[in-house]
Amino acid sequence: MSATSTTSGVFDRLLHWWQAHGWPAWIFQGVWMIVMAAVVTAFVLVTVLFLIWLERKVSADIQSRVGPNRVGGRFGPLQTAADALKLLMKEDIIPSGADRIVFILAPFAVFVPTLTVFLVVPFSQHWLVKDLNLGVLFVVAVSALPVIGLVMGGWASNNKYAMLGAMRAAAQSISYEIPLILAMVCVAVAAGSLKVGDIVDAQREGGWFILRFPLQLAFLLYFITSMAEVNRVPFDLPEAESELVAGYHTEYTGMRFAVFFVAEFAHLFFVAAFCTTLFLGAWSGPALPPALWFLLKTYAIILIIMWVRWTLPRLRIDQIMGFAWKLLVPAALITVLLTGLVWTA
Amino acid sequence: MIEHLKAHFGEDIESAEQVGREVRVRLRPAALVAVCRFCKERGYRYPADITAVDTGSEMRVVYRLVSLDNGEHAVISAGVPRSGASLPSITGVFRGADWPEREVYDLFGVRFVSHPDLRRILLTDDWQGFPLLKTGSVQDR
Amino acid sequence: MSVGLTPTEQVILNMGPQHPSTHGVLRLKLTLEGEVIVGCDPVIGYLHRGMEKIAENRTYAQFIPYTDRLDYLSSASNNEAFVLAVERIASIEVPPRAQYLRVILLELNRIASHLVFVATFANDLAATTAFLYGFREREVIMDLFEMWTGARLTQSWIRIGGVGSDLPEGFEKKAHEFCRMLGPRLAEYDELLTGNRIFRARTEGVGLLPPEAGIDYACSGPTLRGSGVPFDLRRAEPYEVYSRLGFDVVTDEACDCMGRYRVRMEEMRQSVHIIEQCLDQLPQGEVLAKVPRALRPAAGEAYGRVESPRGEFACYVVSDGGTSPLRVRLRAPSFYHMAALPEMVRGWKIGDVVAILGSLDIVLGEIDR
Repeated sequence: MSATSTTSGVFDRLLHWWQAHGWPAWIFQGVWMIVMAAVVTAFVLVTVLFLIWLERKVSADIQSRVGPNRVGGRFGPLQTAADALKLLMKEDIIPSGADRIVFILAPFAVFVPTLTVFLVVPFSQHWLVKDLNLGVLFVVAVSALPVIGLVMGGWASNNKYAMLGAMRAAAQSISYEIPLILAMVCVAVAAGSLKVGDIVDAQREGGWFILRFPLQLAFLLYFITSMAEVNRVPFDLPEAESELVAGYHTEYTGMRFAVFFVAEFAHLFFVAAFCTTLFLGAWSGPALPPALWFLLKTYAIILIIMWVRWTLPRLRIDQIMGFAWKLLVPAALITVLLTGLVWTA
Repeated sequence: MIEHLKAHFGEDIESAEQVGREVRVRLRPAALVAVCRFCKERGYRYPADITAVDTGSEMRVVYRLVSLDNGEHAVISAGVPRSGASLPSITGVFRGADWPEREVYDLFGVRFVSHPDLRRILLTDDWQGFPLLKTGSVQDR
Repeated sequence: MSVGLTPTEQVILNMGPQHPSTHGVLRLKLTLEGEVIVGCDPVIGYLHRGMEKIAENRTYAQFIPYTDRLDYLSSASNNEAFVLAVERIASIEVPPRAQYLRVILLELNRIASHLVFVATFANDLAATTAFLYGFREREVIMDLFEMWTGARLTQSWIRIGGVGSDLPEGFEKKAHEFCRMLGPRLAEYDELLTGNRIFRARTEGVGLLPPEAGIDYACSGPTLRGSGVPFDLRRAEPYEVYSRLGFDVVTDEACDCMGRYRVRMEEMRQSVHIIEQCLDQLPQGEVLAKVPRALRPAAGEAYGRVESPRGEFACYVVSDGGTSPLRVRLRAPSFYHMAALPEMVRGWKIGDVVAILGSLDIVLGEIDR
């Protein structure tokens, strides 16, 4: 019996209470889904607000600057809210000649899958929305969907550079998915299951996966490829401003742009959270409340990712592709082989 | 150097004198390309500058070729009329002559024959007139 | 537009005039086949202000502040070229103390300009942090300028016959402090950039300029020295007191973006060395010769050449004996480097254009005048 129960414990009790009153189950299930969606969305949005502020402060510190220090006090905590408000008030421009429907849908095609994957993230012992049997596979499948949104955005903009940026983003995303998936496969092999709950349990019993050979390689692979998936420096060519204006979201303004932006940071939080789940034992840890452990580990990963972003220059597109195919894919294959050998031995 | 030039080009060299590290030569336009090539072969490989000077009464195009070996400047001037001027282009001798010749055309109106792409470089394509000429007006309307 | 499988269609891509990485208002019309550049047509003149024409309507002294605005990242070099030419025509002798002060000003401008180069070059390649570090160091130099001349950027402090004023109290101490501080900071840049795998992958072997092509295009400065040609006007045609100062002419055999970058990094160290020598050797004396307010130099001409951070910046001044020059020709190094750009980017990809253009370190102010 998995130690990581889901909210299903709560769900089951409430469902029984509901049915005891003679009301049909499906209404309750519907309400539950909406409530869960709202909770996840709210959490993600608040986190993103915080993350944007954090990014600005961390980058300022690295660059000998101060960062936001006026809005809402000495540390500028309300800066992001102010910027979001500003974006909301901007004129909504849809380029003439653009494919309207696709243009409008694209940001959401990116945002919705990014939110959906949070269903299988174990924030704490009892805070996991649904412990799917195919947890890892679910993540892999849904994480592949935002690419479609990207290409939609680039195509619908009716803009040469946006299209070019979108094609590059798609190529990069797809190429880096392979080592990413292989790294996750290693963890699945080590845990003997695709269920997130089982992965956390395996680490509670045998120690965090990052400490167990050869999963350090898998961790490294996951870490690098996830930076490429989130389009962060050194892999941010698809949106590089100094090259071709702004890539796939060149033509997006105001709230539509905000959705893309929020999706990017949500994705960043997700990859860090999932990295914590796969390699750092998720919420396990002594003394402190599990949820706090989870957040601490996740933010440690995020800080390292930010550190890398503000230190390194950017790779060229052919260098990015070469790196993925010529180095990461073979390395990933070798890691899977090693993991299989070590775990079945 | 001056003796070599005079020996080689005779009448085409209208005047030549040494002033400090400069060999100042004034020549007939027809000999321009040959003289420049002559200088390049003798080490004046660095085409430091090509420009024009309009004194009001006469105009000359000045080429400054520098030798990186001995540091001497060959300053070659060709007199041209103040309107309708044309000179042979030396882009065949120095690739670096392309843009400066375009600028002289743009600002002074001197046409360079057999220049690969003679068009205005600093001013807009539809500018009328040649501002650096001493005609008293900057743009003809 | 065909993308991917049949890259035989030629596409014209426009970079600029508003573009984050063209370092000013520059327009590049790139002809692409797929991702490879087959042609490049730079369009300049967006910043043309008619300086050469203006010069004919100002007195010699009045024109000096205009020269500041040419290569505005290193304004003293522009002043110097113009003033050298004028002093040669008018046979004006500059007092020795003024000569040393000019060299100090010129070398500080060189370091400031090269810091901007490192900052913007790294920024174009997305190493944003280096941008801020470079400007942080430059702020100290700006403070020094402000202390001495009252202006941070366009000092106009090199005047006909000398400099605007003597060093203020505390300047030498602050200058020495700066020289001591810069070395370790440059070592930091080396760690972050020069040795960085990604930075090297973007700059090594990219944008080759063979030395013969460089000379044929009249390239100069670090652009030419990065191709191994040891041409430095401070040694080739020494002016002021450079012949009395010990420093190396920095060259690099690589002929690529990395070579040009390394030359500028090392030149900063050489400049520090020069400044320290000047501060040590500084003689007593006047800082400005006696020059009439409305200077009427004899009729004649002169070509004043200066080793600016970008290369050979020169002023060809023709005088007819009046208070205004008859003709002032401003020879800008970036103009010639831009002419060489099409040849340098041919065969490379769009992403490389930014690196190659950045490595030339152009300033539109002096290209367009």
